[in-house]
Amino acid sequence: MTWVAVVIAGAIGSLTRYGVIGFVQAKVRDPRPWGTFVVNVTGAAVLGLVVGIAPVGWWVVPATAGFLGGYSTFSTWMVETIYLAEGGGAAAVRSGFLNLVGTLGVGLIAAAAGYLIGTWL
Amino acid sequence: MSIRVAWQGRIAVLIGGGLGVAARFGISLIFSSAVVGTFVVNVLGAGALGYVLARLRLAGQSRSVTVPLLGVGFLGAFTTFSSLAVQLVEGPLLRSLAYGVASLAAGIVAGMLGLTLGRQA
Repeated sequence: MTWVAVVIAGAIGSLTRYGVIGFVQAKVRDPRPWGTFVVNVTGAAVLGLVVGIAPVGWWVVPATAGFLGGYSTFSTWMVETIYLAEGGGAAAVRSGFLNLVGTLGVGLIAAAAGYLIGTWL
Repeated sequence: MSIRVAWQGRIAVLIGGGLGVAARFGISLIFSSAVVGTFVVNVLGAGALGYVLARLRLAGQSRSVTVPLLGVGFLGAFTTFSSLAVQLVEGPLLRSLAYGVASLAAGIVAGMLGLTLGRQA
């Protein structure tokens, strides 16, 4: 039963990611991968919050491993970072490095902030 | 983009994402350590995404439904940023340093390897 819920939640999380990335990219009018940055940072914040609250129930694994796992993505972040760095010249490498370190840094702050808020709640 | 194509893409992300989450969930049950499981899916997924995207581009199929199905859906959902971020925040400092550096380095190398292999005719 957990499996079914995890898969359904993961499918919905993936579709949400697809929608949010499309929405963000249309808004920023910048080819750089802001959409992936937004889903990963928000996904990290919400997972931190859930882990901090430490709720109990059948829905926790579907919500975390399912929805948030499907919503956030590591593979896209890696490949987009390489694409950025491949643009040519030192500026492109800098841009790729910034995407790598920037996403990780802001993602960690978001996860920690979510976790702290969760433990206070 | 026509309405029909937009819906095709969404349904492909939904199906691919559900399967990707199921695959990650299955692999996570194999490893006793959640950190090792996340590391394995993330690195595998980054390499596979690089390969798939390069392959499709080479075949002139960058706009085919395979991109949302296998790329955005399956491989996007197979990997996870939110778990990585929370595991890094939760874990002991030295382990997190090693895990973070290893994830990013292996993810970038795997992605580059996948892209390079996929670009060979």
